[in-house]
Amino acid sequence: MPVVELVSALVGFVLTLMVFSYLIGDNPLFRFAVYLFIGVASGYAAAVIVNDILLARLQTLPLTDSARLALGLIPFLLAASLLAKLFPRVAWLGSFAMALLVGVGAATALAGAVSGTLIPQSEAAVNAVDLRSLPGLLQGSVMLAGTIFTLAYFQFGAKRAADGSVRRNALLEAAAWAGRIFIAVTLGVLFAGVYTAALTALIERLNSLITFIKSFLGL
Amino acid sequence: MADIRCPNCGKENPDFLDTCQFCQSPLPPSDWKIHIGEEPTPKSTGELEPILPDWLKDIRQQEMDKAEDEILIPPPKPKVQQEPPDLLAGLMSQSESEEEELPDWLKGIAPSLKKEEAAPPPAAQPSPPPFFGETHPSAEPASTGAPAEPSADKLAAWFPENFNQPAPQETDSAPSDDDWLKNLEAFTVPEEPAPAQPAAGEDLSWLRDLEAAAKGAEEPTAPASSEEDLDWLNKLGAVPQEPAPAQPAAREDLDWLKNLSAVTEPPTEPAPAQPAAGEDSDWLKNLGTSEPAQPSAPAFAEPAETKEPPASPKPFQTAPLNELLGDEALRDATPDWLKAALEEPKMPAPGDLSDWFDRQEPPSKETLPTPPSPGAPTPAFDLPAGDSSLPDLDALFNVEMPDWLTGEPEKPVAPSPETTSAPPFAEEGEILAPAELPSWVQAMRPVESAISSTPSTADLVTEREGPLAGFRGVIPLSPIGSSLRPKPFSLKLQASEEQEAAAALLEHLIESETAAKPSQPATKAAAQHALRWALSALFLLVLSAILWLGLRVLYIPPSSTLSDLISALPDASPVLIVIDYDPAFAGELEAAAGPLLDQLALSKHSIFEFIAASPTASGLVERLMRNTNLSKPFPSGLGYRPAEHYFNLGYLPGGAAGAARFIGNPQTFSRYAAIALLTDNVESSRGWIEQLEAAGPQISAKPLIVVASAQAAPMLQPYAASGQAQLVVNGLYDAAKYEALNVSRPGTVRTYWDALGFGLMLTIVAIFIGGVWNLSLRLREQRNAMK
Repeated sequence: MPVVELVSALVGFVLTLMVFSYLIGDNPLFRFAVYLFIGVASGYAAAVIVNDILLARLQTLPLTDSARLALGLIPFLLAASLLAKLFPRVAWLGSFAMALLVGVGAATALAGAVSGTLIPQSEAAVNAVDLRSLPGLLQGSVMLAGTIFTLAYFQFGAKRAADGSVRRNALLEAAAWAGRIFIAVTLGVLFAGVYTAALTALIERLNSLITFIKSFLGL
Repeated sequence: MADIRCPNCGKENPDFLDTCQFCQSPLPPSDWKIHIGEEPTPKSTGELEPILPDWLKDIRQQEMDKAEDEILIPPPKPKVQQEPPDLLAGLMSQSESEEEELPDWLKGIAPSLKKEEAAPPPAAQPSPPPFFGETHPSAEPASTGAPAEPSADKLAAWFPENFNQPAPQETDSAPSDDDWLKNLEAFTVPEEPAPAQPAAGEDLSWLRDLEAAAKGAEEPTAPASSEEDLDWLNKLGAVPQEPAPAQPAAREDLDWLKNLSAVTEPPTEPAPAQPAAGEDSDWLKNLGTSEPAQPSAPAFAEPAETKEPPASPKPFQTAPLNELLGDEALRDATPDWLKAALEEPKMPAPGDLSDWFDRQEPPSKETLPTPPSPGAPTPAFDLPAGDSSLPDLDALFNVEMPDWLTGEPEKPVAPSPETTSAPPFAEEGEILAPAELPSWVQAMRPVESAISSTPSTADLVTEREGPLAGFRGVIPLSPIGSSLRPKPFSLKLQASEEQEAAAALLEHLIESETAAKPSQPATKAAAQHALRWALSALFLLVLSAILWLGLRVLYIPPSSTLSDLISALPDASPVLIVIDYDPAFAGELEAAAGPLLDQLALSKHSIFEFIAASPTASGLVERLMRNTNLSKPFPSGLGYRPAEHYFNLGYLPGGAAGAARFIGNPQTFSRYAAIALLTDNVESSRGWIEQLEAAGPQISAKPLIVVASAQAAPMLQPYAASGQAQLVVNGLYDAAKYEALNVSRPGTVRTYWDALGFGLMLTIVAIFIGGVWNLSLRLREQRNAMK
């Protein structure tokens, strides 16, 4: 095993044990490992941004073409104006860049959500009901029922009854009750996926430890 | 403070109330005040004679007998050893302070008033009474040794005779009650005989009236020898040769009573000034001539014109009286009623009057003291508030005293701040009927204007307990039943039911926020810690054992979906791989993406172009290539080399906007044969899917394979169902199926699969056991509750 790999494996082993020490409670070893990860990640991200974004763009600026140079400097000026947000007196200088970011991002997300999620998913929900086959019919029916019932659960419109109580319509109440089941199943699946992801990460770490130990022991 | 009896209900009310505090009936106006412009009513004090104590009468009778033989003998200098208690030392000065209509017996005790040419002329006096016609310095020059003028009244005739009567130098008789009075006469008589003041012709009828008012019908008629009994006062009336330039008018009225207790210093100490009784006559004259609001100098202060050395270096000693207790001879000579005053007070006073005397520098022989200027006069006794002599005086006047001595002390017209500290026995004089006061006493009463402008010391209460004991007027009094009392009004908040409900709701919310939740018992928390450690140890041991042993016992159903999709891609085509996960999920996603990348590299020799959707993801490319054995040399890996078989394009900023811009460039994006999205985040992956769909049919037609973490895959599954994504690899579960079909290449998922399977089963078992345990506990609690 090369020395670099050995050292990196040893560091990974120690840091993994330090993170595992959280099993006995919050302790300085765990906090040190967490702070180290956060610091390294932040530093690495900053280095990546400076190296891959700022310097890369500056190197590509057309210094001979003033028009393109001016256009190429606009992003830098806008980025620099964002630094004015650090100072309250000149914070207004970064408002335009911030507005541009929010506006462009919202517009992009909205257009993508409509064209990439709302319409295709609606079509998929409709097309899922295949009347020509029983499985397709059942699958489509379950998908349609799940969608309707889930939406019914979040329908909070109601009228005041004769006795003064405020209750939803009986049909809507039944649909909401069914929608609650779908929501519970969905949340259960999500929780299972989160647990599975965490368990997979644990297994990966244990496997790395065992691999290091085996390689260290020559097994 | 005098009380006014309500004519309606008959109850006593404070004199400052206009209406009765009990029945709200209007109260008659207080008649003891003298309004501006009113003339005092002459009163006869002759009827007061019967109320004099017997011992005084006896003394007076004896002295009258002696006076007939010794009237022309000048009195020797008094001896300090025989000085009586200072109770009556200042009596003469007080008696001389009466300005008008002094009784005859008092006129004869102020012979020195004729020597008033040494004193400063008094202020304008519009109409001095007849009494002042004889005593005023401007009316008659001073004369020494003038004989007393005869008077029709026996008592008045008796006074001048005894006034110049020399007292015996030493008492030969046995100690008796009258010895102290003899001594008093001895030390108060000046060195030079002073002429007796002729009587003004007024009798003592005002004293009789006063006595009659005090005693009423209960007292019998005055004894026949009442006039002779005033002999003791004749001695007290002995005045020094030199008149005093100042008067003690500014002091509280009872200052003259304090003067009664003043004693002189021992004669061994040379003294520049002698505060003899003759000085008191001066302030008496000034009282009638000067402005009433101006305080006067001490009565014992020697005027500037006085050249003779005084008989005593210090003024009268007024306190403490208990110092005299050590003198047995003096104790024997002290009358019974005075002995009580000489006893040690029970409660220590905050100060001591004798301290005041100690602080006063005795004037030297060479420099005679200058008389106090009229503009800055000093009181007769500059006693601080709460002086220690007050308790002694209290005890002094607790004994049996004549009613006219215990009468209401008169207030000065304009008392200085020092004069407001009246002795605490001032309230005891309220029993004296105001209407029966003699005229000269009424003249000393404050006028109405002065009362309204200056605080009355009678209204101030002397604190008797606590740290303020001895102070007067510290806590102001508020009259009970006064019409100025604010009317009570209800403080109950008028709130409607709705407001009260809202307030209750708000209060409940605040209480719920601040209420501390009950903490779990220590045993229960410890049990949970132990359970957590046990489960952790169990999982670590099981997973570590499976990984250490390399178990591969669990079956993996193969799936050809991924292989079919990859087989449709062209060979050696570039494939865009989007890295959109954090380093924490690198282990899972590297294992999940292994089968895809291995099949692409192995079967299609695809060129990988990696682009990172997060700054930290750009560094995961090399790790991904290494852990999937792509970058490892052959035969352990596929020998993929950077910049040749795969490219790291770096970080793509801008999120969805950046993705849209990257996807919207047809020249760069159209060359990719497929797009692989490795993600652990639903939102970011959805953005990529949406932007690919929004980029147009040409772009959206490209195969999209989403390798998602197990936590994000369920949310991305609809995009696979809708056809927006050709395939969604759901973590290790789907990757294991594709890997199984690919002859378990690269083998990472297979390594983890058994551990994952056993771990999930162990988790299910733990959850089930925990559920059963909790259910049993709940059932047991319910059973116990039912029992």
